[in-house]
Amino acid sequence: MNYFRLIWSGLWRKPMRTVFTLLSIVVAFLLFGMLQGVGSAFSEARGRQHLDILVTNARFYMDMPYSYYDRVKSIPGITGVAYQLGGGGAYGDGKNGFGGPATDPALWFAVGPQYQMPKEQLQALINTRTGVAVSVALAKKYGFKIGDKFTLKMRIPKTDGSTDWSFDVVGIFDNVEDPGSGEFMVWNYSYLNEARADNKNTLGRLTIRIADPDKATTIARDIDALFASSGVPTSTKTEKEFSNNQLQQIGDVGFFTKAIIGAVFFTLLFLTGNTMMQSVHERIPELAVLKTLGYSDTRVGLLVLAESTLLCLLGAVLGLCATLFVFPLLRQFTGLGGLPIEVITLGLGIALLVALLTGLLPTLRVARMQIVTALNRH
Amino acid sequence: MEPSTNRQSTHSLRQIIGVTRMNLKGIPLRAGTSMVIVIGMAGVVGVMMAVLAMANGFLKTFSDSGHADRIIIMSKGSGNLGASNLTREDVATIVDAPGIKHDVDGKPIVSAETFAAIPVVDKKSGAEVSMTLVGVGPKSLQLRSELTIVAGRMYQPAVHELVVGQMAQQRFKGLNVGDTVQVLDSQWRVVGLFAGNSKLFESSIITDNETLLSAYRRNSFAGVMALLESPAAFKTIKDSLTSNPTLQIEVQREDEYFAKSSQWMTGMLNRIAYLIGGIMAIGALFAALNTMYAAVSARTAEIATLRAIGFGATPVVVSIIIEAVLLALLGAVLGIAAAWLLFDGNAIRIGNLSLQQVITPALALRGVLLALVIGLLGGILPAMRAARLPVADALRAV
Repeated sequence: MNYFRLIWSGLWRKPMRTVFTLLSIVVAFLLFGMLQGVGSAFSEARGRQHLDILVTNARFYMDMPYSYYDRVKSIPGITGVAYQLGGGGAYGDGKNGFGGPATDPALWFAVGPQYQMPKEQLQALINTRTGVAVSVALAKKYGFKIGDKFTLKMRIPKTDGSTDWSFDVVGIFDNVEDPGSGEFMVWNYSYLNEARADNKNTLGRLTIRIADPDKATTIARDIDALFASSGVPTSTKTEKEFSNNQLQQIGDVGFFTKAIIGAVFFTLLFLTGNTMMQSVHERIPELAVLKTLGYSDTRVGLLVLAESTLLCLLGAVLGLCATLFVFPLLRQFTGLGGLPIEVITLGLGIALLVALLTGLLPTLRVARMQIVTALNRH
Repeated sequence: MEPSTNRQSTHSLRQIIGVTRMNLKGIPLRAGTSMVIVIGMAGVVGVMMAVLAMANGFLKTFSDSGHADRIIIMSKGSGNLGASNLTREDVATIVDAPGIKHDVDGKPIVSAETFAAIPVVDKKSGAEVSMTLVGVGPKSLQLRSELTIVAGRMYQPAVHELVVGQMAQQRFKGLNVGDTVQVLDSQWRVVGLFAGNSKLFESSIITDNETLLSAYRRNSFAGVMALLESPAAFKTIKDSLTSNPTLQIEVQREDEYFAKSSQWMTGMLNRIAYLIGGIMAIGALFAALNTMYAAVSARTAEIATLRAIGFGATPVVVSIIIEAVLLALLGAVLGIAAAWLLFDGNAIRIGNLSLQQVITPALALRGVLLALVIGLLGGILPAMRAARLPVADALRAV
């Protein structure tokens, strides 16, 4: 007995109904995939934990003096420090803009090995004062290639009075832990510091690698103690704490998103359940015949359950596939490269759950019905 | 027997009413499938309302705080207060401009302001966010007359004292009267709380502007806020200030400035609402089509009989569409009610900003319109099929 054919033909008994129900399921899972995907950008730090990285910012949202870098470097237990100052501006007609850390490229890529770029490009960035390395995502957005030149209009005036900063694209890097994510550029602090008119020798952030992750809290305290009574006190956190905090700030939005997903699935459950009930109701005489032929209650019941499962899984797979295509387009909002795998596994799990819930009542009904009563109905 | 097709229009109307009534009376028989449209629409409209309410709430946070008779003066080309810089000479010239309301002591009601930020911790989530600390002029409470001190007292100048907005005190740790807060390298004391129906201002901390300037070793201000004699005085002061060759400034009404500041976020939230709502609406449309096709199919014999005894195609079509639309509207009403019960007044925190979701009649109207559209679309195709049923075949299918 070819069960699959039996189940399949059961589904397509009323083609239009099945198609509409299937499409509703596809839409529900498309929405689920997008919301859950975006939600996961809000509720967990992406990539590896990096327990050996600390981040130091000024506690009161100012710039730190460059001398902080020299003083932090010499703290025991620290294996590498990169400094940076963020800078960016308007590109082209002014409607677009981007930027990124001005830093010492050798230090920056050493302390952040998840960002990778061919060695020769890194060397070119080090050697070219106005050189810039762009992320894969940024290159894709503006069509940047090695050798291109561009200008950004920044709010930082140069010594010659202009605010137009020119750059040469010498490298393209990617974050191997989250490929395709983040639209930003890396450029030379020496360029920024020498060419700017005032506020020289200031830093925005220090990224610090330590030898022993267990010492993270003590070293962080030591760093902040160094600068506690200066004009610019610091706040040092582990990288994990730092990114978690940024995500926590929009925690309410994450919760809200989950509420919407819940509403969507509740609506969907109702629709699918109704369809299954209808469909089974129409075929009671046939299913009764199957019982007459000797198929057990369980087997006939399982046939019905299999039908609802097939429908839900098919819809879920199609919907999640659609999400795979659509999700990268939302990169602007999520900063993520692609749809996280756990969204797909969660989606399939939910599909099975929906299949179970919507198929349960019809299945039980069919399993328990008396052949005589059922046939009599006809 | 030929169905009559050349009836008078009054007969058509009566037919429409008759068939529609019959349809609607039959809905309880098709309760299951009919509920599909209702629940589907309730879900779509409910979700759309909830997200639009967020956009609305965000907008209100800003628009409630801006007044048409208050102006903001910034340096030219800065676009926002964060990038603006005015010298003391600039400020001295600005406060003498015509159009500014004067206090009983003859002095202009203005506030030369400078901004800083301090880290605070959210009581509920433990998240650390940046809180705005504003150095304001001595007449700031006359300028913003909707604000009053509701606990403790006003700060004294030249001392490290702070007055905290009530929303900030409620939301973040360590901002009660008597607490000390670290600003740069010294401890400042909270001596009072202020409130006044403005989420925006109440989410900040104020102190004396000169005290803040000296703490941060600054000697210039971000902007000047002023109270106008009347909203109409805007033109006077704008002309006077912009025609002054010693000043490079821009003047805006406070409400317009806030509206512009919130534009990006509000626009984004609205777009998200329509994106999510749109996708759900497509799903709901499929559900509606499902239901109405099932309804038509279940009543094949009925419809065929109607046609056979002389009812025109139009009444049948119209009645089916009306059924779909009414079910959709019922769903929309349920969705609006659910969203209102669950989300109206709900507080959402994004960073250091708090907004309250607000569902207004205007929003509800959009949900109703969506229901109308989906009901229409969901009803038309099945209705056309019903109209084209070959009468004889349909009767045989009984």
